[in-house]
Amino acid sequence: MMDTENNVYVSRMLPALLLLALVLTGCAGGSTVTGPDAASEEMGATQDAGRAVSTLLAKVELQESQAHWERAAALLERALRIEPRNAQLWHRLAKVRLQQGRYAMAESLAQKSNALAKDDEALKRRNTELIEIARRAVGAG
Amino acid sequence: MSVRDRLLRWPVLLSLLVAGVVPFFVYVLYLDAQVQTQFEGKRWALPAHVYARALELYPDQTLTAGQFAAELKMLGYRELSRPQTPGSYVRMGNAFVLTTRAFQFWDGDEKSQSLRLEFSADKLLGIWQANTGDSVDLLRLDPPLIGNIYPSHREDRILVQLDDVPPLLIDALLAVEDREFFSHHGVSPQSILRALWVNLRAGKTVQGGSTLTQQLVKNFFLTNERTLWRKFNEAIMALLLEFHYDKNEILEAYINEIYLGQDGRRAIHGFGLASQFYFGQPLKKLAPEQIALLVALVKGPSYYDPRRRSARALERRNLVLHLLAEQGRLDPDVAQRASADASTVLPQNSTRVSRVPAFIDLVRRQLRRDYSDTDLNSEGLRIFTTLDPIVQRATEQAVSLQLDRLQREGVDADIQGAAVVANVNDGEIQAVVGGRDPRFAGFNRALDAVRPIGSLIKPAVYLTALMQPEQYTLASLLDDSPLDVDMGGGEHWQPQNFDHQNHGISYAGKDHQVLLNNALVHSYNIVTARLGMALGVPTVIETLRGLGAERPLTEYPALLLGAANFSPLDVTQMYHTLAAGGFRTPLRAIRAVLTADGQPLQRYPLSVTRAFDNKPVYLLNSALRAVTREGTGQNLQYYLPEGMVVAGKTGTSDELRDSWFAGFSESHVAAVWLGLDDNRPAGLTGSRGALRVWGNIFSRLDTGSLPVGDLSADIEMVWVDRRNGLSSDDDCPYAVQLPFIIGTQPVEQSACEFDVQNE
Repeated sequence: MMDTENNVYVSRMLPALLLLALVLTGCAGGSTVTGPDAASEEMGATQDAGRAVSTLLAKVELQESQAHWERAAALLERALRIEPRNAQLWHRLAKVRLQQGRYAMAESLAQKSNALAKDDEALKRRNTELIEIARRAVGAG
Repeated sequence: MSVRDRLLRWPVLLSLLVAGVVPFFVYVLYLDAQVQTQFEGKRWALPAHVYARALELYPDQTLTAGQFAAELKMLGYRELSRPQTPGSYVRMGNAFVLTTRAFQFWDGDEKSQSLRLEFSADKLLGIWQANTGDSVDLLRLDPPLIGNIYPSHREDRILVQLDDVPPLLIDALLAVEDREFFSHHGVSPQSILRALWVNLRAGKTVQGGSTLTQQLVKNFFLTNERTLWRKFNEAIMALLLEFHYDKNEILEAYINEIYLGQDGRRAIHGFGLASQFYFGQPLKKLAPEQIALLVALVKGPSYYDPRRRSARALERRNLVLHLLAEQGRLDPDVAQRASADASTVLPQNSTRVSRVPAFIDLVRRQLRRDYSDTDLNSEGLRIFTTLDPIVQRATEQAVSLQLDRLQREGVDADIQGAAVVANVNDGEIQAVVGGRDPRFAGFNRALDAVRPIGSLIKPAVYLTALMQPEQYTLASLLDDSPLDVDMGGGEHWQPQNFDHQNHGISYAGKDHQVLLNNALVHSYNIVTARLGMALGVPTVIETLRGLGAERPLTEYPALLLGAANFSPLDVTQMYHTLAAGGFRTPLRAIRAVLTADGQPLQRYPLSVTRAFDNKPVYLLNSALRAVTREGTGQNLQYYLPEGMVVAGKTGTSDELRDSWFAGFSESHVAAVWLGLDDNRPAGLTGSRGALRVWGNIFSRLDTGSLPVGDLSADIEMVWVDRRNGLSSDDDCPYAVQLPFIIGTQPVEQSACEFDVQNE
């Protein structure tokens, strides 16, 4: 499978609207649009991770703030090589794919995150919300 | 002749002239286009560099000092007492001080740093800045170069630049092949005359009169045709080359192009590759006698083959040394000493530019699929792959060791094997072994041994069943009594179990009743065939597709017992989907591609598709764990560390032609195939052959044991009577604990009588 930075061209407005929805449901992340709840949840993700992964997550945020989604994804994949069963990282990657409008991939990644989430109910809830948004987007697209 | 007559003749002459000269010009233009295309094509054929994964370093990582030292060695780090230049280190027991190299990655640059690292017995304890003592959380070493790809030609080459060529080599080439190189225009009448004179006197061809330029042209259009017409063409093209390019460009092309030997079907072109081929060293490091030998070969690499005709080769080498001394280009004493050297070349070639040809082959195919040849050819790309040299080494060693042992135990000496290892979490292919000799770049069995997989297919049948939880659980009773399928046209299919027995007990008036779980654990054929027929072959094929099978499949009952051909790579893909809990990830060998100047070109991202609900996959994997504990895979316990939990399946094709094992731990998935290339029976079951290699690979890996009792909320463990699948007390002697999707566990309680006929 090949991929380039902006290979999916959905309606440009759609991701923005979806992000708004994310903020309103309190599960947005990244530095572009961050609600107060989301910020604390992201902190949680960082605290759970080891120092190596925290270092990478800081870089992920920098890339996200510049909308360099594919670079952010590459860094998250690197983090996943270090902590492959960290469900937060899979969720983070799902969010990046959602940002890029790659809804099917976002949904699968959120499901993967769920499969590893064990009893992290908050994360499962955020995954479920992300999946719903992705599905609605596919329906709308 | 009258004036009138002369005038009349002019047009005739003119037309004769036109008829001769114009076609000649056209012809020259044609030759010119040809020779320029050749020259440019060769000159700019920058190879794509292929890198293994870069080793990540972070505190608490599982990595030994020995593995770290091996990585540094592979990267060519030099051991210095004061390691301050990038790419140097010093080791003091379990501590290292090193200065890393800067490197450009897809996701950013890694700068050069001076660091101190400390290891415990199995871990990297910490990383600190050598100067400040600040601790470092994460860094990457530069990635090991594992090969170069020249997509336009089949042969590999080690290109050298003129600046890197030892002056003595150029001196020797000029002295022996073309003294007037820097003064002629491509063709040297002087040389031709001299050669003619020498040859006439000797009565045979002793000297050639071809300039280096002519020889280069000849190499572009490799034929052994020795006609005058050929020579004429070569001369024209040599003149044209000299017209377009300067002497140094032509000399550099010559040094990289000239034919210097043969390695089976592979031609050795250029002094760079020849240096590796004959001496196992880079050109820069060659001694005078070695340089002289290479120059001696120009005249006839096969006639002077130093491996087969060493006396002849040495004689000509000494002639080259003599000529060099005579022309004042080499100190006579040095020439004398060099001539006395009788050692010639390495007995075996060591030109495997890549030490991992099977993996490079896979990378090349992925690139071919995604790029045109010209893209690849012109760019000098930098390709970042997923190969993990530590896993690759472990896999190679396991394959070689176990095949040697099998051979000592009497297995056919031609026994071959292949293995693929991938990371469960992200589908990265970490190791590919294409044959018993992992350095041999021949038939790549990991990709091209497409063989019947036998019982490796059974998990697809049982997964299809378990996806219908109202119909099937691990405790369902299945029928192992004799089966006869009318195939129509008078043909009957009567599958047999491996031991030609019918298993199971009589229960509720039916014979040969076997628990679904046990049927898979012991790999019973008849049960599986009957189950698959009930589910429908097309439905099972659908499951195979979901697992990632892409090859054409024939829709007939024998497919249910593994009459379906797959390569070890295909099998790894299918078992990866199981290992990943039903999430399918296309296995990748490439992470990213950068252009020559470091611009990100293409990334191959991690991709995940949910192919199956995780609950039936959980049940299936539980049975595959039992395979390795008490079923056909139980011999694994002799190869794996105690307490290590894995899941897997054996496979054996008809008449013991193919021996398979595929399975996974928490972090790695691998498939191993053993067999004979000509498809004769190897006489090995999956359990006796491939299982041993697989077990040996996993005993060498740093790999996570499968979590046991790590239940999701939808699964519960229930005690059942393994004879009838009914719910039982845990103190019943036939009780076995099996996982069930909640709501599907047996309700009826087994009486747990002791008089039921035993299995």
